Amino acid sequence: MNPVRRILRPLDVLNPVRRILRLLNVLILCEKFRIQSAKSEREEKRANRRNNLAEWVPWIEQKEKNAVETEEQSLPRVLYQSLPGLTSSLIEILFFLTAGVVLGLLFPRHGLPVFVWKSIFAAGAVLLLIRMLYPVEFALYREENLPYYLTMPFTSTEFLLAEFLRLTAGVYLRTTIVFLPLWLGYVVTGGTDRFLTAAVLLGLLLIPQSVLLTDFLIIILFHSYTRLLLPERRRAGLLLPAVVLLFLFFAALVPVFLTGGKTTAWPAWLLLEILAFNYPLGLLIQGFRLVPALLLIGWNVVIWIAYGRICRRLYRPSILQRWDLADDRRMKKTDLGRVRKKHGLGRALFLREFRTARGMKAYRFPVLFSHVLLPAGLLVLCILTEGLHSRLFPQEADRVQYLAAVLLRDFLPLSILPALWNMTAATAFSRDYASRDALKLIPAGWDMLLQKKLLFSVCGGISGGLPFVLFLALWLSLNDRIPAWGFLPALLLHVLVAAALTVWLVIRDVRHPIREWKNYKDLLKKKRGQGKPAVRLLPAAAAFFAGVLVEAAGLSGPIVIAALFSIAVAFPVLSYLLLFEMGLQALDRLDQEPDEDPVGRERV
Amino acid sequence: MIYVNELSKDFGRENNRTIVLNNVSWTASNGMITGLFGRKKSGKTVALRVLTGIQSFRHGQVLIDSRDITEEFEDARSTFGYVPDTMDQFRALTGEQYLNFMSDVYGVDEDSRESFLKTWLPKLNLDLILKDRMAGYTKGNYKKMLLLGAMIYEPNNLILDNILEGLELQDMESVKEILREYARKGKTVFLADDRLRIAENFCDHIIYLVNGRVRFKGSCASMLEKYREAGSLDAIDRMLSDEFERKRAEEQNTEEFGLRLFGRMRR
Repeated sequence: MNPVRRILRPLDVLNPVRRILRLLNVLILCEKFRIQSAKSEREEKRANRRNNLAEWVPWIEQKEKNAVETEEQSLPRVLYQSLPGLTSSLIEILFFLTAGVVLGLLFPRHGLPVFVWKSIFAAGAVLLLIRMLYPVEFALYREENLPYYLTMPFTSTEFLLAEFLRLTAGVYLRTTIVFLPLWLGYVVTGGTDRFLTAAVLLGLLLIPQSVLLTDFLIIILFHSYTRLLLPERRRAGLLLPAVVLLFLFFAALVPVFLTGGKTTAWPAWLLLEILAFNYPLGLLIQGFRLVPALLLIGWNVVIWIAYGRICRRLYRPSILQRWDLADDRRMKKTDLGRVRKKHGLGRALFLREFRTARGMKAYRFPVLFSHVLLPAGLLVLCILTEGLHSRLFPQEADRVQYLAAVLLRDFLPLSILPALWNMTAATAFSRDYASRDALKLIPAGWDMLLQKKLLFSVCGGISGGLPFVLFLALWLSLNDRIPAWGFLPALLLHVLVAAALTVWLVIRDVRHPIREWKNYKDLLKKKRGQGKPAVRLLPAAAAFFAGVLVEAAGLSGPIVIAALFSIAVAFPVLSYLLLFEMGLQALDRLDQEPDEDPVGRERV
Repeated sequence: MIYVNELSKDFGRENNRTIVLNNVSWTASNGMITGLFGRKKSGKTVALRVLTGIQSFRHGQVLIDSRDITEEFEDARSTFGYVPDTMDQFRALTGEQYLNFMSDVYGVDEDSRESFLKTWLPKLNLDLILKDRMAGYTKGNYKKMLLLGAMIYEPNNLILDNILEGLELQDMESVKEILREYARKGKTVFLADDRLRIAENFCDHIIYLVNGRVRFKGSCASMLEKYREAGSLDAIDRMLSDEFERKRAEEQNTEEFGLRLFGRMRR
């Protein structure tokens, strides 16, 4: 049976998602068929030409004929040549759009799908933009070409192009690594709110580490094909541990998704929004594509201004009146339902999108900082570190120094980036917490939650920033500026700070329910004194402790927090050390491994 | 000109080192086609990789147009074009994109590019497949396209690894003629191949490697003269390689005999 027909046949009985996937398959298959048939046609033509001596021997006639033929075919030929890339790009756009629409339709009441949609689409759009702008460079930057480039008179600046393309490949990989689990977790947990807490924790604790980890993996894997490592080394030596580490990384994420915390709301959304905006941006800046980076910064400025304007506009009395919103309290789902009934789905979706707009007012400075000032600062930082890197490579640097310089260049911005993101979030939380308006909006119990978020932000910032210290120390020790063991104190500092934070969190989280329980008992006593035993002590106590247990079992519980911190701190440190050791070993093997079977060669 | 002096290259650790090139020296002069021959694993490809700077070496000196490949690497790289033996470079590009890329890298202006392609593409029968992706090329076409890419900036030296492998007879003759013409312009053509017979009426100078050592250096005629008893280049090829294999087998037998004897004595 024709493969297209075979795929199309069971289409009717499949669910919508599978249908879309099948359709995409069909599209790809059709594209392949088209390429194949055109190719065989060309082959046939070529074979005919070879067989036909009358055509072959008079060279000039043939040339003229070819010229005419080429002219005739030029337009379709050009179109044909551009189609495969275009089709794949269109398919990708279609995929991102479909994913967004499907998510939006499936979970219309939640903010997260919108975020996921936007983040996936933003990352995908950046990738597509780059692919469309630099298709040849994409094809050029393939690892098998790298040894060949060593024979060409490239300067270190031109190698940056390869670096940039490595990073764009990294964008895709990292976006997948970071956002796909988020989306999967959301689906697995049934789209409940507790996943939002998990997402916040993931963002605060694991994203900095995952960025560093994946970067390191990419560096190891891709740089291994340059002069730095072995052009002909055996790949499995490094690839296998890398895959195992990635697997471990995902395994570490499982508890995050399985044990969700309690409710959260727009701060998480905003935080993730910040991450989603800046993530590709940071990578673009790091990849030294100044024009796209500046464009994105400009875009962020527009977003920032637009947000402010929408905030102001949305809370004008006339608008509130028109939408049947009596006051400026936070938008609730019931409000949304009412607006949807009266004004239609489009306006309700719009309103839902900006239901946090009131909060956004308090967030204006952090948003300015995270969307505009931070990227600009990073740009300067990248230029400085790049200068350092260029100075070391390729003149007088040996391989270890080069590796250290690459690490420093690649890690310094990415170490600081999540740290600053988290600090920004912390600033946002603290501002919000201090804001009287915000306090009015916060429901009972939110203060405690906000404190926790603030704490997490600080912890995340520290855990994200410490690897920078670690690598700086490592670099210094590699350059004999400090003794070889000099980076150990930094490592120790990293672990100690993480441990101290963990202990602090545990103490806080244990103290809190105890304090609450005391308050609760006081309340009960008070009520008893009034002669109104509204609640019996035993069931109430059971219910309360059950709640505490549930909380403890969730991400906000001290045990899980401790475990998470262990994972977030110990795992990256171990990974860094292991991978760095692997990199150094690979360096040692540079001149030690034969590239061919040594049988038949003289041994000494 | 490519000047190699007492070049040694080895792999492995201190106590278990495999010598691939053992103190080899040669000169590939301007205006000549120099062929580096030898059986598989005799060290030809490694020699070319060392010449082009892809691999480092332990001892010796390599000068390309009087530029030291280690000390003046940046300058030396612009003096040669290299065609590797592998089939995995730039496969995602079309032939046209590849040639444009090479022209851009080496700063070839539009006019020279165009005139070069007008001259050489029809000669190598590549004009029809110029806009096809290189992944779909036959081995011969792929090699020819890489050769054009290496020649497009007209370097003083061409370093070619197994360039004639996979070519049809007619293409082989075309490529040989192109290389002869290139050498006639006073440039150096240095190629490696494992079939000595192709040197006949083609190479001006032959270097024959056996197990990383230069076994013969000289012209084709002098080689035929020296190994007169063999009769042809093919026979010389067999003779030199078999001689080495025989010697190695004898050495191994002697070693095994010694070990057996030593074992008996101990018993």
